[in-house]
Amino acid sequence: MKEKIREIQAEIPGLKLTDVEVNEVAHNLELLETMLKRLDEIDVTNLEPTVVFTRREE
Amino acid sequence: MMNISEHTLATLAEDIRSGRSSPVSILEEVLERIDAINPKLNAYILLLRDRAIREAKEMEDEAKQGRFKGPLHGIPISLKDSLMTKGIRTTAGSKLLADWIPDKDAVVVEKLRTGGAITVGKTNLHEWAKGSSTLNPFFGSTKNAWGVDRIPGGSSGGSATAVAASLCFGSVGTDAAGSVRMPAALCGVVGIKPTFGRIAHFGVVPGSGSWSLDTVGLLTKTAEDAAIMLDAISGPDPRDKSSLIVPPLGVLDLELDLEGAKVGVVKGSLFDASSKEVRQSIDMAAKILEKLGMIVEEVEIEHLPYASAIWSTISRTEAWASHEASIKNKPEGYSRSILTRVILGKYIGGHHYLKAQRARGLLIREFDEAIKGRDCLIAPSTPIPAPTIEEYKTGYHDVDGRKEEVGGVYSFLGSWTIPFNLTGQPTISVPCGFSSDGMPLGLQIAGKPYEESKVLAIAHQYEKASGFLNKRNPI
Repeated sequence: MKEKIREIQAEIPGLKLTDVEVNEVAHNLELLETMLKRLDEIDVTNLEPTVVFTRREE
Repeated sequence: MMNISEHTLATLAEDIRSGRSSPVSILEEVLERIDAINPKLNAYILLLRDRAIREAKEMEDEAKQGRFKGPLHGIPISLKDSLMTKGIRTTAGSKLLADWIPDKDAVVVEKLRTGGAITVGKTNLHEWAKGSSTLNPFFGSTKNAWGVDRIPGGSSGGSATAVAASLCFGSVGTDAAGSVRMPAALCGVVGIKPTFGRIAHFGVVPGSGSWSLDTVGLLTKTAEDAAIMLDAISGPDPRDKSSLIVPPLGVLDLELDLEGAKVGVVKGSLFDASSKEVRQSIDMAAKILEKLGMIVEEVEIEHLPYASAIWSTISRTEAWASHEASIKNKPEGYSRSILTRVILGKYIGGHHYLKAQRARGLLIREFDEAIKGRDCLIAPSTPIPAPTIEEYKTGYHDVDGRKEEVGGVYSFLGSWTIPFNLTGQPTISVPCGFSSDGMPLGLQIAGKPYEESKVLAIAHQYEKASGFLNKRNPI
């Protein structure tokens, strides 16, 4: 998690996170991992991606 | 004329057409209310006073000559500030766009003007329409008209508050996770998210909401008002391809015979996790629908508890895709709370995005099965009533002795609305009761794709039977 936060800060030089914000990002990343694990529980074999929603912004 | 706050869009339209009232006198009363009340609520972040007065005079002149542009002729409405307005500042609630003046109108703005509506102002929203509180660090916090210590919900919180406080008689919002229906429920008004593509999306600020989940929606006092506005602004536009494949809206018959109509009330673990008062309000709504002659049965949707994971994966990926360049170049243009959410999309791989879109197909299939042979599904609009501003900032709300996250990146507040963004079907939220501390609760009525007419008829007849519309907020 710390490595990811360092990566974020390296990629966005103008971003200076406080300790509290670093903890918030770490918490959010943990939640994201939980969400992705939950997504992996779904069996999507033989399902096509939803492509009915087409849209173009100009 | 009766007190302006007792009116609905429909009654005002009738008064204008019959000559009992005039666009200028109505606007004057609305502007007086805004001057008195908006400083407490911060529903509007930009007032278009002079322009509105000029337009009202034009509408009045035309009305005197017996010429009416349509049912919205002379009606004061508002626009969420994520809808582009030509020559008028449009911020999307973001510091980055604080001085941006678009050179074009959104399709809905064009249609409202053609229909004779008068835009009173632009309403506050959660920054980039990416949150559920409308506590905006750049343009101030919007307060709930039922309790100024409460959030109004979001992201169209300014629109919901403006309608609830009679600071306009209809507002246009956008809904990618419940951003119309959730604030409507928390503020005791009606919010409709029509079928994906029903209202052309062109002119909604790119990067606000979510690319494949966002729909333009409406906030009004009644389902009848929502029907009037929807009729005026729906329809295809070549600048939004998804609007081209949607069949015409057809005639909206709010008095449709619903005797024997079949209703599925969505139960399961998500229902069980909602507060006791919310569950009771839905059971009571089901009884009212039965009294109206409808047949109510319980349904369960197997993968409904996964909706949040599917939605989050899609939404976060799309947010990062929209904002990556500007976050890297101007991180100071974002609040830390939004920046630290949007950045999550960086860590979602293409395979997970694709998997979420496939799982979305699974959810659509299961909702199709649940509604097959039925006329609508009903569910809570939110699992809890409006949290306090303090709770939102702290991040947690007590739900019958259990702590749920309401302020963070995966808000519990949107758990009932996001499934219908994934399915794209038309869904309306109507008031269905109050919590023990007097905060409004909402009922969602979801129809089959393109069946807005039936959804509105059920909502309208439920509203009349329930009597909740007659309750007035303290403002």
